Amino acid sequence: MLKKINAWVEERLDLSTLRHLTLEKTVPKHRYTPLHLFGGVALFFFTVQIVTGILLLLYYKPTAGEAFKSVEFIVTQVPYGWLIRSIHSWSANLMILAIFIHMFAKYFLKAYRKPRELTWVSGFILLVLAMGFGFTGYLLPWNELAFFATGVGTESVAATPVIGHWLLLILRGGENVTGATLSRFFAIHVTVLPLVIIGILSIHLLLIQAQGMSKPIGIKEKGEIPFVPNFMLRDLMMWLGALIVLVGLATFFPWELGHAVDTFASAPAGIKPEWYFLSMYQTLKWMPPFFIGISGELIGITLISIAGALVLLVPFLDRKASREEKSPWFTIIGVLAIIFLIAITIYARFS
Amino acid sequence: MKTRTILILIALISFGLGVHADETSCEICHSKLKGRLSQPVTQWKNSIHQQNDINCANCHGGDPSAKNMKAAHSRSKGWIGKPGPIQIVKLCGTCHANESFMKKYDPNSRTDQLKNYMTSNHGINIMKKKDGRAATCASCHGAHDVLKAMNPRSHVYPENVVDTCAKCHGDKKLMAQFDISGNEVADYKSSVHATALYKKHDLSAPTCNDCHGNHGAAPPGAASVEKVCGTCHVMNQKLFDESPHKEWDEIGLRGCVECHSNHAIKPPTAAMLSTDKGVCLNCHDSTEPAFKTMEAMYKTLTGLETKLMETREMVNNAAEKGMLMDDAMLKLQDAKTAYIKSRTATHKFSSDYLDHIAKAALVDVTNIQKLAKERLMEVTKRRTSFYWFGGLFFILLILLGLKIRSMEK
Amino acid sequence: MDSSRRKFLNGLLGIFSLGGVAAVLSPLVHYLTPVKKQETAVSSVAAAKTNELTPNTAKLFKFGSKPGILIMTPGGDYRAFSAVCTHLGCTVQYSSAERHIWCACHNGHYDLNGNVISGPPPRPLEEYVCFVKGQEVYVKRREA
Repeated sequence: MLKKINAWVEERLDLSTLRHLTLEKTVPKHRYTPLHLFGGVALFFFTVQIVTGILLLLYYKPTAGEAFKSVEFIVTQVPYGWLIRSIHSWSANLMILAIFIHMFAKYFLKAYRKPRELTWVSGFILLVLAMGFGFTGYLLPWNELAFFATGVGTESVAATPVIGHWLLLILRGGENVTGATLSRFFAIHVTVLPLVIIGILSIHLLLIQAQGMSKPIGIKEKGEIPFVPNFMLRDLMMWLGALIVLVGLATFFPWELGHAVDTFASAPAGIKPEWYFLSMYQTLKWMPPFFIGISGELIGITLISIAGALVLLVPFLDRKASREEKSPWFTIIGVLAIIFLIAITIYARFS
Repeated sequence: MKTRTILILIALISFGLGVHADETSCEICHSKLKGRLSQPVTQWKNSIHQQNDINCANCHGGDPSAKNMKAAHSRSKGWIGKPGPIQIVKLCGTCHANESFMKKYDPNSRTDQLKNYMTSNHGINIMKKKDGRAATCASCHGAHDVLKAMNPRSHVYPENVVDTCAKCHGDKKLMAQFDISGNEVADYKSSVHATALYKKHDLSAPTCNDCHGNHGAAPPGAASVEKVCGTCHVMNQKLFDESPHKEWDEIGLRGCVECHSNHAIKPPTAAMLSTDKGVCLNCHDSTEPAFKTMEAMYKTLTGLETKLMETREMVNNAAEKGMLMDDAMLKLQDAKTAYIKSRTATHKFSSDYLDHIAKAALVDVTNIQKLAKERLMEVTKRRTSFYWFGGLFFILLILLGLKIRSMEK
Repeated sequence: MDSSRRKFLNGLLGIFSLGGVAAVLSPLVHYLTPVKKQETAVSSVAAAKTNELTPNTAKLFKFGSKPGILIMTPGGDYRAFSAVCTHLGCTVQYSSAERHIWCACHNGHYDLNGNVISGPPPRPLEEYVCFVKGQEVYVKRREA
């Protein structure tokens, strides 16, 4: 029966890629193999986001008047609404964490080197998109913290030369964060970003399928693991673990609802962005107001953009790795970057 | 003294050129002088008198249009120099006690200040006993920088008036001459009223003059203390008047002051009724029925406090665990209202009455606790469900591991 | 032997996988089932039905997490205020006899504009905006 269906489909479609994936794809086995699992974990959290996101859409109302009330309704009245909402928030954070781990793992394994430069570039774009999801989604419950944090976050856009103010207006839908901002963020969060991310994600995954797994430079291989089913079962184990952690966090530390936006209230003390923006936030905070006639904010944003560009261009900068030679300098820079990011994030969190 | 004023005038008059047409020769000369001779002009320029064109000569006399000092300071033109205490009071009174004159400037202005002042200890000392150490109008309102009382820069603005009184009443040596302790200001600054005034910037909080009167300043007599406090603390006074203590004034006790003191009034606590340190013990001992009442009231009030605290903790606990407690917080507000009512109810000094009032708070508290318990139960339920969920998936995880192992053997 | 163990393992896996799927699906199904109690909407609060109050009466309503008081004045207008007394935070009430707002804790009195008439309250009550829409009287915070 199965064979018949198979044949029926094959007469109409070329399934060789799929067959390759299921039968021939292998994963090189070495002591760093488990590091390959984090991309899968990020993908798992992404799937959770899609499912819970759609569920939240059933009750959420994206207007300034109703947003907070509707989220409150979800967490108090809808059966398991508290769980779905809490999972969506937690999963967003865990997804970004997983992406970071995945990215650094691939970085240290130098998996970005020729011929996988585009995989790296698409991966970097996915990270930026994920942060965009985080930024836009944060505002949607329309609570006090989100309201003021979004005000601060969008403000930094204004430092862009020439078009800064225009960008700010486009982003906020006006001079200030208002119901118009909420509508825009909602549209970006549930239509624009999902469309873009699915496109880029498909490219990312296709590239991986087409090129197979990279093998680290100069590491002894202990053979190969077939992707289906051996490696996939390991993926599945990771996912189950991730699910347990996710639901546990959502149950024991339900995501706070906060207080409804009161535009007349003054900003509460200690407004800080989500943890994955803290390093950028702190960098901007450290800038002097003016430095040789240029606004500190502009310098900060330029620095952050340069850092981003460097990360994006890593595969093209690391010439040694592309010649299959070891590139210890890049490893050292990577370690320093991790230490710096963690230190600055912790500092920003507790200062 | 005279020579100085003459010097002032010389200077005043020597400046007569190229100045503002409205400026009097007093201003012109004195503003060019130094220190104490020009200060009156600067101070006056910010005053309510300047705004209303009441100028130097209106009080000091003399000729403001004269071009030289001698002419300006002419005794024949009524120049009086610096007025003495009695003169000050009379001078201010010429306008401020004149109803038809004051109406021109402010139809609602009062004109009874002089009359009141004459009844005050300050007025009696100055006007009858000719004792210049007491306060005149200028001592409180300033001589030249007179402003409306509600102007925040005024010496008699609520937030400034205590320090204005303290200029004399904080001076222990001076006060000793009048048999006044001089601690009153320091005491007041430690009081709940001072906290309301300085910390919360609550301008309706009483300062010196709200109890002592301003122009008719005198200590309230023993019989009137509770009426003075009762102007704000209406309910407390009403209950007190219904209580067995209503006859206090007949036996010479000073109403509210007996328990709350006068200047250093502290925020009241249930401890005021405690059996070891309570204020009742000042008069009553443990053999009297009053002691029983106090004991019972203390028990009710502290019991309520504990319950309220307990309830608040339960609500916070549930809120911390992620439950929305808005409805409970709303009810907690009712319970707090009932609790505050109970505190007020103690002024009837009847334990039955207090229990009756406190019952409402107890009902509220019980309802909130029930609600909080339900929410905490829900938290437990969620966590238990998670243990099952987590357990199930953990087993699945292990089974998968076993599967992989058996596959790769 | 080995194959029977493998079969047993596969069986267990199958059962637990089914359990897992059920454990994930059951909350989702519950979530999708419509709730009877519909959400209360918007920034304004429905404080009362239009036929609920008669002139010179009032009622308390929930405004966020704080109480509010909706008054129908003797003249038949609606007025709404925060019901939290500015003195010590007790909940105020309407006194039909005195035709103004009264706080029972320390006998604070407010007039029908929320201003203090007598007693210890330091500040007026915050006034809200009322409007009638259909059968409901809505109350919302005053715009700046």
